[in-house]
Order: sequence, then C-alpha cells, then structure tokens
Amino acid sequence: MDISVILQAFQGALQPLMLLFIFTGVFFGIIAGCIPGFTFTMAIILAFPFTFGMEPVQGLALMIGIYIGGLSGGLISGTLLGIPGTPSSVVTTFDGYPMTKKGESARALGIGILSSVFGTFIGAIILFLLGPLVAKVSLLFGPWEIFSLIVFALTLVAGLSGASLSKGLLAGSLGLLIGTIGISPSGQVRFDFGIDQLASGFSPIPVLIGLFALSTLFINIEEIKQNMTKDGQDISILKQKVKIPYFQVIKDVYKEKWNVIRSSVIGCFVGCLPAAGAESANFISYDQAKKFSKEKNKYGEGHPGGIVASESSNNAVAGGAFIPTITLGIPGDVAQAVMIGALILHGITPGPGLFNTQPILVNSIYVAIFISGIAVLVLQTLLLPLLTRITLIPKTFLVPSILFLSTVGAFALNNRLFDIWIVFFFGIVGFLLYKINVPLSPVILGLILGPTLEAEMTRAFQMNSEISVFFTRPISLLFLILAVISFVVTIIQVRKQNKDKEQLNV
Amino acid sequence: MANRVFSIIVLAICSLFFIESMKFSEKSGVQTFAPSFFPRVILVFIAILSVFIVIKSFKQVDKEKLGLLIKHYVKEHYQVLAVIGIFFVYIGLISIIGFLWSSILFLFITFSLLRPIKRKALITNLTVAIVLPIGIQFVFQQLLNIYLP
Repeated sequence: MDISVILQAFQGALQPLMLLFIFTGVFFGIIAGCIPGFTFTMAIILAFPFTFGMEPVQGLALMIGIYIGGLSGGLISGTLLGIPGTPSSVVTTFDGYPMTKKGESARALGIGILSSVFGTFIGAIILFLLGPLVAKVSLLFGPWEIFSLIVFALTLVAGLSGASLSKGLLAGSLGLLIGTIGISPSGQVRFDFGIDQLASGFSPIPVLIGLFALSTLFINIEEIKQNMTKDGQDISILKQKVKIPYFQVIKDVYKEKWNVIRSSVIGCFVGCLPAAGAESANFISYDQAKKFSKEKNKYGEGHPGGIVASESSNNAVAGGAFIPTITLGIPGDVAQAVMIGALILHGITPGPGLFNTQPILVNSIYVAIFISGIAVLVLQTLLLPLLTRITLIPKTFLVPSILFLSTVGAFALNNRLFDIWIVFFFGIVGFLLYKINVPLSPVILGLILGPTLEAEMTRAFQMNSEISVFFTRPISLLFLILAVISFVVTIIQVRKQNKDKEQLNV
Repeated sequence: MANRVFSIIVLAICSLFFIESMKFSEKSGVQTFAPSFFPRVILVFIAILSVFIVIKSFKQVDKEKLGLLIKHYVKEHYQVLAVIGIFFVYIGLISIIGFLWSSILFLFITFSLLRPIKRKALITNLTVAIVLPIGIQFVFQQLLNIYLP
C-alpha cells in the first residue's frame, strides 16, 4: 500500500475549504436527519447541483458529510419525541424514547452521538482495509462476471426492498426498461416515441429526483393534514435545555464496547449489499445485541445497549456502502447512486480501475468519512439546543420550498426545461408506485445498471458467442448461484411472513 | 384490485414498447444483437411478472372497492392533488413568465394552501416566497454561473 497517497489525501482533506465543505455537509445532513419525513437522501439530491462548480473531491466531501450527518441526525427526534427522524433510526426509539420518559434524555442523546461516531470510524476502517482487496479482485472481472454480478445485485435488491418479490422484480425490470430509452450500444435510437428530447435517453438524476424526492414530498403533504388533526403531542421537551453528562456517557459506551464493534461490523456488511441500507442494519444489530446481552429483559425499556447497537450500526453502513460503489460501480443505496452521478458528471467513472486511476480521490473518501465522524461529534454536541428546535420548523414551509429547490436542481443539471417535466412525471409515477407498495430503489438501480448490463452482455457475446461461458467461469457462476439463492431465500421469507401475519389475524 | 389495475397498465405500456421496438428490430451486418433484443428480453420478463401479479390478485379478496378508496382519498387529501396541479402549472409558467416570478407565485400559493389562512401567516408566506427564489437565483448565477430561465 502506498502511504504517500494516503498522506496526500489527508493533506488535501485538511485544507480549510475542504473542512468547510465537510462540516457544512454534516450540518445540513444532521438537519435533514432530524426532521421526520425528510432524509439525508433528499438532502444529497438537493446538494447535487451545488457540486457542479466544485472539484470532484470537494463535491464528494460535501455529499459524504451530508450522508454521515444524516445517518446520525435521526437520533435526535427519535430519542426526544419517539418519532424516528429517518428510517434508519427507528430502532433508536426503542430504547431512546423510554430513557427520555425516565428523564434521561441527555444521557440517551449522548450515547447515541458517541455510538454514531464510533460506528462511522469503524465503517471507515473496514472500507479502508477491504476496499482495495475487492478492487483488486474486481480487476479480474470480464464482461461475464460483471453481467452476472449485476443480475445478482438486481435480484438482491428486488428481494430486500419490499414485501413482495414479484413487485420488487417488476420494479427492477421497469428500471431496466427505462434505461433502454435512448441510444443503444450499437448506436441506434430506441423508444423516443417521436419526442426529440427522449432520443438521448433519461439522465438518472432527474428521474431520481422525481421518484424519490417528489414522491416523498407528496406523502409529506398527507402527513401535514394528519398532524393538524392529531395535535397536542408534547413537544415541550424540545424546548428544554439539554446538558449531556459526558462522563456518564463515556462510561456507558465503554461498557458496551463489544456491542459497538459487533454492531458496526454488522452495519458495514449490510451496507455492502445493494439497497439493504441503514434501515435493515439497525434491526439486525439490535437483535444481535439483545441476544448477547446479560440484561435482555431491559432492552426496549431504556437500555443504553439498544441505542448503541442502533446508532453505531446505522453509521457504519456508510463505510460499507462505499465498497461496492467505488470498487464495482454498483451503488449501495440511493444516496450512493447520486454520488456516482456526481462523479460521472466530472468524468470519473466508479468501478474496477478507479483505485489505479484516482488513488487520491479514493483515499480522500476514507479521510472525508473520518473527518465527518469528528464533525458529527463536534456539531451535534455543540448545536444540540439548536437542533432540537429545528424539528419544530413547520412542514408547510419545508415541502413547497424543497419542491422548488428540486426543480432548480433538475434544471441546473443540463439547462433543459424538459428535465423538470421528467421530474414531474416521475414524481407522480413514484407516488403511485409507493401507494401500491412497489419499492422504488430497484427502479433506480435498474435504470443506473441497465446500460452497463446491456453493454457487458453485448461485449461478452462479441468475445465468445457461447452462452455457456457464463456458467463455466467460476466467479460468474458464483454470482449466478448467489442470485438464485437470494431469489429462493426471499420467497421462503415472504411465505413465512405471510404465515405469521395470518396467525396474528386469527 | 389496485394490483390488478396496475399490472394491466404495465402490460399496456409493455405492448406499446413492443410495437415501438418493431421500428428498430432489424439486425444489421456485424452486430451481435439487434438493438431490440435486450429491451424485448426485459419486456417479456415484465409481462410474465405482470400476469403473475394479476393471477395472484384474483386469489385475494378485497375489502374495499378501488373506486371508493380513491374517492375517500380525494376527499381526505385534496391538498396533495392541488399541489400536484399547481406544480404542473408552475413548470408551464417558467418558460412564459420566467423563473423568478413563477417561483414566487408557486411558493406563495402553496404556502397559503397548506397553512391555515391568517393575516399574519400570509405576510410570512409572502416574505419567504420572495426571499427564497431571489436568494437561490443569486447563488446560482453569481457563485455557480448557472443561469436560470
């Protein structure tokens, strides 16, 4: 390993401007995380147009900051109000909110923040150690392996992201189909339906803004109404002064040190899987922490271990999610997909080879994650009083403002008004799909990976017209077998879930 | 029921794409695959899945009718539909009266729609609706060199 490259990355990251970007990112990430209904994914999408004018490393640093801040920020409203700020902090409420009820809100917040920071660090270390290894292996991949890998990734996402496998697969295929609009690998225009602007295909970003940001905003409008009717929740706690008992918190987290490490490792590996992000990582870690704990029955009633498990695992996801992104070009989640989009815009294509062509950039990612961890600690402890109030900003202001900002963002990408119409169209599509429980992340993954899938397939058959090669090359075969396994496992799981539900109903 | 309608719409879109793919189905000389090959594989896959979902939907008994559900939704959440409508008009207006004015209008109307109408609230609405687009336009044009229409 080349130490000088790492040092160069550190040198680059420690410049005032870079630090400013990272801290700004973390700050906005935390804010996005603490407002229930808004996620860091949306914040990263909104930040996207601002990265146009930056150096690739700077833009990436800003997005990494938002990512890490957002993964942690959900704990504030989760602990104080029992309403998770992001899906990834659902589990934090299990023990955080009971602690608040017992009058230990400051201690709970402190444990959450510190665990987040450790989770981030451990995730970054695993990325640092594993990333180069995976990258080395991925250099051996021919078109057959990449094709099989993408097939595996798509089946995995389809299975993990929803209750119904058929809908997940359908969503993924629809994404693939949208990806075929535009110019084919052989240079022919496909599916333009007579509309000139469609001839160059969809850029993933406006589709992504529409599917995710817009549909989430529409859903938020529904909730505004619901909140009006069910007013009267006790929010006085948000206005109280919180003072974190630092010594106590350090003692608590030290007592749970194995829990921190276990949960972070789980979080990191769950993060590696496409689309299985922080939302699943914290459930698995909580479950494991409870199994290993001596005080099992106290979990769920305000046990520090529960917060530690949840918060360290959801932040460790960041490190893990970067592994497939930078080594294989397969985004670990939607936030990663946006970051890939930002890199591609700067002419950098993530995937095998990135470690050789952009060693400093790759190392800057580790460094930026690390610094973001420190920023989370500093900003969240110092600004806690301010942050607890931010959850009070009325959504009636936020929803239209973010609608407006996403419009600007979509336009700024290519200076095309047509892109705003794409956002609008996919906003409605996303909203309708959400309503009938079709998961959205497979659509995005299909759209992003579709063109690669087709190109690699064509390349494979150009090199060798036999289809059997896909099954005789060991790594390719392995991915195909994994795809089948993930398919079968999902079917079994869905069956089991349905049975459990039926039993509950009886 | 919703699943059935959804699958049928997907099937309709599939056939539309399939008909469109006839336009470029020819394979020319050295090409490994016709440009229509890959999309057609996906289309067949989508069609199989949709049919599967339709068949499954007949096994489930619906408690409520889709029409009633939609009616109920429109009554309960008319604001969502209103915002979608206003957003549509907004995008159309951008190219006619420009980015700044249409954004101010859009923000003011949606704020007022979503918040209870009071005199004090209207003034805050107007202030935010004016400050935000001007601020964004400044940041984009001066700092990022991106010109908005």
